[in-house]
Amino acid sequence: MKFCTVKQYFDDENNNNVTNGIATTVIPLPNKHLKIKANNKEMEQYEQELLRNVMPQELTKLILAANYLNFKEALDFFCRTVANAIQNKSVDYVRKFFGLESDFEPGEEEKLCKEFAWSFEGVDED
Amino acid sequence: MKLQRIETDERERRETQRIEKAERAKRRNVSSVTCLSPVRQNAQTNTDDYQDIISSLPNSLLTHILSFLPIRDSVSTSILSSRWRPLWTLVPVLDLNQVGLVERCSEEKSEKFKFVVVGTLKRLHLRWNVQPSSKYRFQINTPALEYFHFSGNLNGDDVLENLPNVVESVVQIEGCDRINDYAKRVWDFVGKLFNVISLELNAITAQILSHGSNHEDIPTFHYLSSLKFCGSIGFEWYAWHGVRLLLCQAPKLQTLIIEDSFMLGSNLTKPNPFLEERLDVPECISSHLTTCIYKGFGGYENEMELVRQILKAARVLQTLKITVYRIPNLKNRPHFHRELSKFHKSSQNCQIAFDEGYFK
Repeated sequence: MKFCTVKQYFDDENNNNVTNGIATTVIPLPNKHLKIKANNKEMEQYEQELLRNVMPQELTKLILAANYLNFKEALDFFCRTVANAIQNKSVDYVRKFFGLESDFEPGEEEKLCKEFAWSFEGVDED
Repeated sequence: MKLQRIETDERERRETQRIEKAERAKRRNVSSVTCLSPVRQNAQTNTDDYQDIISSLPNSLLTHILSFLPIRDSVSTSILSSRWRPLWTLVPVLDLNQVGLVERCSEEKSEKFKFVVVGTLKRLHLRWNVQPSSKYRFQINTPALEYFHFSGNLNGDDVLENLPNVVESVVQIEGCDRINDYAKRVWDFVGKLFNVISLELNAITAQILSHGSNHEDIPTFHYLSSLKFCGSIGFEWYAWHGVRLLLCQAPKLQTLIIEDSFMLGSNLTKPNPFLEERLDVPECISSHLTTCIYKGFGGYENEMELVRQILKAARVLQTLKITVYRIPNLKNRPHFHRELSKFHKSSQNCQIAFDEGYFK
C-alpha cells in the first residue's frame, strides 16, 4: 500500500516535489521505522541525529515528500520532530528556527502578546 | 465470459490508476499554493536561501505539526506572523487543561468565560473542575467533533450543543450542583452524544443517571456498541439502576465492560435492592451482547448475582471475561470459579475466562 505511490512516482514525469536527495532519505525510512517501532530509545536517538544533521529546511522538504508519498508514519514522525524542536521555546527562537519574519503592525504584535500572555510564560531560555 | 471479466478488471485498474494520478496531482499542487507573494515564491526555489522554508508548507501540514504541541505552545505560534495567527484554531485536536486558563482570566470582569471552539475541531479533552458557585461556564459547539473526553463538574449553565459525529466518548462527571433536575441535566449532556459508538462513564455519572426516572426524556443510543463503567464511588451510592437504564436505551450493544467499580453498593454482603427487582431483560442484552468483561471481581454475592443474570439473559454471549483484582474473601475464592461455571447460560457458545490480575 505504501509503495504504490513510490512506484508511480518513478513513472511520473513531473516530480519536482521530491528531489533525488530527499528520495534517498525517505525511501529507506520504512526499514528504519520497523526498527524504530521496536525501540523507543532508538527513535529518540534518531530524532536527535536528525535534528543535528538536518537543517529546518531539509525537514520541511522531508515533510512535503512524506506527504506526497502518502507515507503517514514518516509524516507524523517528521512533524513531531519539528514540534519537539519548537516546544516551550521563545517566540524569537522559533522565528529564527523557521526563518520567519514578523509581518505585524507594531501595535498588533503587542496586542496579541497581551491576549495570549499565559501561553508565553515559562519558556526555555534561548 | 472470461474475456469480459478480464476486460472489466483492466478497465477498473486503469480507472484506479487515473484516480490515483489525479490525487497525486492535487497533492503536488497543494504545496505550490502557499506562498504569500511572488517574491517569496522565487526565494523558495533558491536552495541556498534557507530562510522561511516553513512557509512552503500548506496550512494542512502546519496544523498537523501544531497538533503535536500542547495547547499552550500551539497558541503561542499565533504571534509568529500574520499567516500563523489563526492556525492554532484550525488544529483538529484540543486538549484543554482548564485549570491553567481560568486562573489567568480571574482578573476579567466578564460574566462568562466562554470557550469559542471552531467547527473543525475533531478531538476534545476537557477537564472542567469549576465549582458551581463560580461564574465560569463553558459552551461547546463543535459539530465536527469525533472524540470527546469530559471530566469534571457539570454546572447549571454549561451548554453542550449536539455532537452528531462523536463516535467515541468518555464522560467522568466528578460533581454536579445538586438541584432537583441534575439527573435530567446529565441525561441531556450524555444525550448530545446520541450517535456514539463507544462510551465510557465513571461510576458517579452512572449514579446520577440512576436518578432519572422519566423515561420519555431519556435518549436512545442507536449506534452504541461498547459501553464501559469505570471507577469506584462513595459507599452509599448505587449506580446499577443507571446502568440498567442505559442498557435499555442501547439496542445494539455488543460489549459491556465493568471495571473496578463499586457500583453495586458498598455493603457487599447485604443484598442490593436494585438487583432484587427483576432484571427485566433489556433487548440488547438478550439479542446483541456478545462480550462482557468484569474487571475487579471479588466474588461477592451481589457481583455473583449480576453475573448470573447476565449469563441468563444474554442469548448470544460469546465471552465472559472475569479479572480478579481485589483480594477477595479468601474463603470464597475457589468456590466462585466453580459456582460461576455452574450458572445457567442462555448462550450455548459462551466461554467464561478467568484472569487473575495483580492485587491492588
